[in-house]
Amino acid sequence: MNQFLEYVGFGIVTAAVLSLSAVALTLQFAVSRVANLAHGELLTIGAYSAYEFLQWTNSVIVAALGAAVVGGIAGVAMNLGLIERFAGRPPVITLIATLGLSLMLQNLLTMIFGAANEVYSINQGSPHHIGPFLLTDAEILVTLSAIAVASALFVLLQYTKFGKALRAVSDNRELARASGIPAQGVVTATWGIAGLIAGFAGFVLAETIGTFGPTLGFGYLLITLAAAVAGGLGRPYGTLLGALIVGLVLELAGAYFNSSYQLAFALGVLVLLLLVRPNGILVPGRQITR
Amino acid sequence: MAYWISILTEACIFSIMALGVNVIWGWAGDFDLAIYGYVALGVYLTIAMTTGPPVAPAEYILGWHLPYLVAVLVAVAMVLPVAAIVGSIALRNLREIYFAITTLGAISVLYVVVQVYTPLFNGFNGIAGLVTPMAGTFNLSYGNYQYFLLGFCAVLMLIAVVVLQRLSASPYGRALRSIRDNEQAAAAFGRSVFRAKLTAYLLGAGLAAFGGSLFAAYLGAFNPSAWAPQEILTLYAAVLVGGRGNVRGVVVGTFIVYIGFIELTRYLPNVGGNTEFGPSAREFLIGALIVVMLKFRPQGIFPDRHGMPRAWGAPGWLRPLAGTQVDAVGEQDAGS
Repeated sequence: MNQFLEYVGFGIVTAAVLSLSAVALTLQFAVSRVANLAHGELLTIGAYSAYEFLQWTNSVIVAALGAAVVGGIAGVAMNLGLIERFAGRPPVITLIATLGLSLMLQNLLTMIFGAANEVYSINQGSPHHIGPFLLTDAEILVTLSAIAVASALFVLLQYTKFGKALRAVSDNRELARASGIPAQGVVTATWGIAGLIAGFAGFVLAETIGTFGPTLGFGYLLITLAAAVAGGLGRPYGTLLGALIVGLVLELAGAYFNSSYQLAFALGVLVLLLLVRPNGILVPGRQITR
Repeated sequence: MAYWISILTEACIFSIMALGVNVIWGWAGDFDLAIYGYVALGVYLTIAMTTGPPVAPAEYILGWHLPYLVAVLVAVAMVLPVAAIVGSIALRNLREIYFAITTLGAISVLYVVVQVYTPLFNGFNGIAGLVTPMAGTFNLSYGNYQYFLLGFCAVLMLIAVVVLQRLSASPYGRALRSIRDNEQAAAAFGRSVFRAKLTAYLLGAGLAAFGGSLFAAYLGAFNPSAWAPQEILTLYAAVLVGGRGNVRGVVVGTFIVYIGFIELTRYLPNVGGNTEFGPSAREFLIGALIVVMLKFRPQGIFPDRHGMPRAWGAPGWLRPLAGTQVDAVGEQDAGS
């Protein structure tokens, strides 16, 4: 039983990292109605930025902030440079274009940094017993930061004018624009926020894994998609729940079977949910989904 | 000269795979990311069935001594059930984004399993040992062999083109396009959407596996570094350049992308001692090609004018065989 609870603890840490990545993806989807397959590269860019800032200043806080800021800039650039240029085209065409962009960015990063893996030199701290869980300082910080980001997002969406505008644009961009909401600005700002979260997520992901390379984000894309689809694409709160479910499944399945097959378990959850509740775990119904 | 023979052989093989992509995406309209997995299975199975039992420490399944041509057929027959499972899950009620995500999942899992579970295809190290298949049967010397392989692949490619060209103009080809362009309307006219899409998926996967089996003869060895999920994008680039849906256009597109890009990027220097620079620059350009084509010419260089008035468009020899007006509805946006 204790052993089981320890695995649950690791599952929560995994879910925390995953929630950051998945919430960023779902925010992009909420305003642009496109599943961004180049989302993983925002994480990778964040991880490399953090690496450079860490080399330069040796401060973890600067590295985390640097990853977020560069990720935010990359998110805005991705939206203005690609997504908006495909506005009005069928979503699947934009989807293919984002996959092309993903290939471009992966190889651009390889050209700049080489294909070899990089390693952060961050002290993980000693493991503590927190209730039934056994977690290191770094893992506790990761979990707390994910909770902080989720809370900040909740306040932003629920209690600010911007949040209201974002929800309106998500429902219907044309209607929002007709009501006097600067829809274009809201979309750009949302991509900026999503990029901030994704860049930070990349740093946290690389830090928890230990090493990373140019395909860090692409390798994490499927797990991110599984969490986001589980919660319903474009639904931030559902996505948090999806991340928790997928995170726990990954850790528990990894602990009791074989951790090498994590992706297979993520896919299992994804396919099951797509067949039963394609629009997210909180939304009943199984009509044809596009 | 030997170099050009080799490049042309490769282009013929990739054309067959691209034709498979064209059936699933060009005709049926399903953006499938798993198809390179069927190529890989075709390669693995063909090698595993022709090279005999594994020699320790290598380990893989089958390990038979089948004649190469028999192994090709058996490999394709073995890949089809895998594609049927993926297809019947993904095509039942998932479309577009969700279909793409599910098939991306399928190939990612296949990739992980092949890498991690070594008894299957020897994990990271992969399998090897298929040397000049059919050379003994036809009494070929090493010097003649590569000419033979080029001819063999070229003939098979031409057969595939002729058959698909017929299929493209057949009622089945038209039904697929009508489903692609408007699923509800096609269903209302009595088409079984799921069955048509699934048969197209199996046909495409079969072509991919067949291309993979030929690729096995060309490569002789195979391991996971040769089929990362991203590899599929080169085939999509070829279909996009040639003209989505147009059989002959897709073959021309494949030759343009493979030969053009390999030639263009062959002389890229290794900047700063980074040996990954050249190959990465090539893949970067493939990604850029996809984005640019989708943005500025989604219908490709030789658009599929099926069911459209044939007064303009591709030159005569590239035009599909006689089409009808049945599915002109919904063809306005070639990019949909």
